[in-house]
Order: sequence, then C-alpha cells, then structure tokens
Amino acid sequence: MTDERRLTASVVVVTKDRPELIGELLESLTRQTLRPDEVLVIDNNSTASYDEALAPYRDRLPLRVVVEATPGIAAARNRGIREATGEIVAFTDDDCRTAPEWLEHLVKPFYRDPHIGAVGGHVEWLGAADNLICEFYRADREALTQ
Amino acid sequence: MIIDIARCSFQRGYLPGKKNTVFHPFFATCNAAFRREALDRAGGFDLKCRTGEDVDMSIRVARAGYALWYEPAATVRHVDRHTLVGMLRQWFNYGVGHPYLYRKHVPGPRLQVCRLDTSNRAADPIGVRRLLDVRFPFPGLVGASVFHLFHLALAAALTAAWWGVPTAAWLAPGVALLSGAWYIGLRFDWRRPVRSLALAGLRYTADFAFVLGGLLGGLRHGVLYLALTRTRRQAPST
Repeated sequence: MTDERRLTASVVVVTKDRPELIGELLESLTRQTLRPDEVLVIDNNSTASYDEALAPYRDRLPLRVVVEATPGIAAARNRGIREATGEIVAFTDDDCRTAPEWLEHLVKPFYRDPHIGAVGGHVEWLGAADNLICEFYRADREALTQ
Repeated sequence: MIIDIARCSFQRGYLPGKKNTVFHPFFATCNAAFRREALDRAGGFDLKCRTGEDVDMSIRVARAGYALWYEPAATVRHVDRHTLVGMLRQWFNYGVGHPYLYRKHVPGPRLQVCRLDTSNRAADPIGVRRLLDVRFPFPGLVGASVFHLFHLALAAALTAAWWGVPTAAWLAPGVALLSGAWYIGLRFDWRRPVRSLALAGLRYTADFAFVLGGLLGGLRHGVLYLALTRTRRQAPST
C-alpha cells in the first residue's frame, strides 16, 4: 500500500464443527500480499475441538478465537463484528481458500472512494467433476454469468 | 426480494442502485468486506433471517448511503461438497427465507408479478422485469416462469377432467405438455441426453423445494410468495 493512511483490516471466519476444513483456509491467509491485522475465528459453539487444527497458525497469523454460544450464522457474524478491531471487516468461510492477493484487492477500493461501504469479491466454485449435484450448481452459475 | 437468482454477472465497479424494488444486488458473505462505520450505521446482521442475511446487510448498507463495489480480482475458491439432501435443504431454505426479506424491504402491500429477462445484460444487469405492480390487500410476489405455467396447466387439466369440461380437458394437458417440454428443452444438450435429463430432474426438484419453501415462508409472514424460478438456458457443461 502506498497510501499514507493505512486502513486496518480484520478477517472474520465463522465455523462450526469443521476443524478439518479451517487449516487450508488459514494456510491461504498466511500467503496474503496484504497481511491481515487480525484473523478472528468465531467458533459457533462447536462440539469438535479446534485446538489441533489452529495450533500451527497461532505463530504465523494474528489469530484470535472467540466462542459464540448463540447458534446461527447471523449471531456468529455479529459477534465477529463486535470483536473485530479493524476499520475494515472482511468475511470469508471455513470452506473457502483465499487467493494471495485477495485481501489487498478487497481493501483497495475503500481507499479510492470514502463512499464505498462494502466490497464484494469473486467466488470460484470447485466441485468434483463426476458429481452430478456439483455439475448442477456449476451449470446453474454458468447460466447466470453468461 | 429475489435473491441469488440474478446475481453474479456484475462487472468490476459500483453495483447498480435501487432501480428495481424486487431485486437488490448483494455480496455473499463468503467473500465481502465492510467499512466499520458502514456496519455501525447499518446495524448488525438480522437474526430473523433464515437465509439471505447477506442480502439484507447489502441492502441496509446501501440504504445507509454507501456505495457497493464489486472487485472480481479479490478471489476466493469455494470447495463444493454437495449431496442431494443438502441441495434440497438449501433450496427449501432459500425459499423459506425470501418472503421475510420481501416483507421487510418492499414497502406497502403490493402485488408484483415478475419475470426474468436477461436478454440485455449490458443495459440491465439484474434482468428482473415487473409485469404487474398494483396495490393489493396484502403483499404478494408472483414469479412468471415455465415452472409455474406447467403446474398451472396441470392443475387446470385435472380440474377440467374432474368437472368434465371438454375444451379445457384437451387444451390444458396440451399446455402442460408444451411447458414441460420447454422446461426440459431449456436444459437439453443433444450430445449428452441422459446427463441433460438428469440435470433437468435435479433442477425440477430444486425448483419444487424452492417454491414450496417460499409458499410456506410466505404463510408465516403474511406474503403471497410464489418464488421466481430460473428460466435461462442451463445445459450441462462440457
């Protein structure tokens, strides 16, 4: 970033009982060209333990884990908003992988125009080639983006 | 609100504003960032949203006076892990969630009849046309699509057969047959007939779950909600 005034960015990830997925997401967050100032993992009252999955990233990311007992994605995201300290709050999901320049591109527009309140990015969907349901979703999205 | 159905095809830049009261462009929360100040002004995510809490948030941020920017270079990859039951549950839940959003964001009791028209993507990236928009005793959204035509004709055919109305008894099944063929034809690829039929079958079950969810969610929130199903060509990808 060349701007003098730097916007701080928190990344908020809501997860529930999917510790096996979160590692790959966090791995992709370690490779960001714009390092997040904070990575908040909101555990929506999981019964599974995340300790082992998160351990390798405690030193590599500014990681913070918060447990939100109220079930539901909206309540968990609101907890993320309350806990996040960044001027920009970015959301992604535990079953996603971020491209290396993801955060940089997501934050840049906020510098350009102070009237921008939200920035959305592109989602690439990856599914098993032989799975008919995946093919259904893929065809569905292709029909929308033609 | 018609959610999910018309999105995804935006160009890099500002999202189109609120010219359309039925559809509002939005960002899915698996890849979106918000200015803290905009979140504070808009308020948090609505706990009453069964689905579409991201749509609701995008609408409120826009109504709080902020612009929404789409930046396709900010990419995330989402790994699909679909099952049939998961798919049906997802579409049913989309349906159940929409009437609440519709009630929340479309002012006044009006009956709106809409259809998808994506023939001119450049001029109209949303592509939802209102065929009718009138005052009505209670709020209602009716989507005009082949799916609904098929079921309407099917119901008419059964009623006509029951009452013994000769003209309708051959006309209605004809319309049902034609609309059914049209529905499958939208998804048909001659190079892969079996796959095409299987995909059309999946589309039908998804649409059915979606419309049923919309009707039930509508009952709960006092909205006549007949969800708008997709009418665009959807052939299996090669």
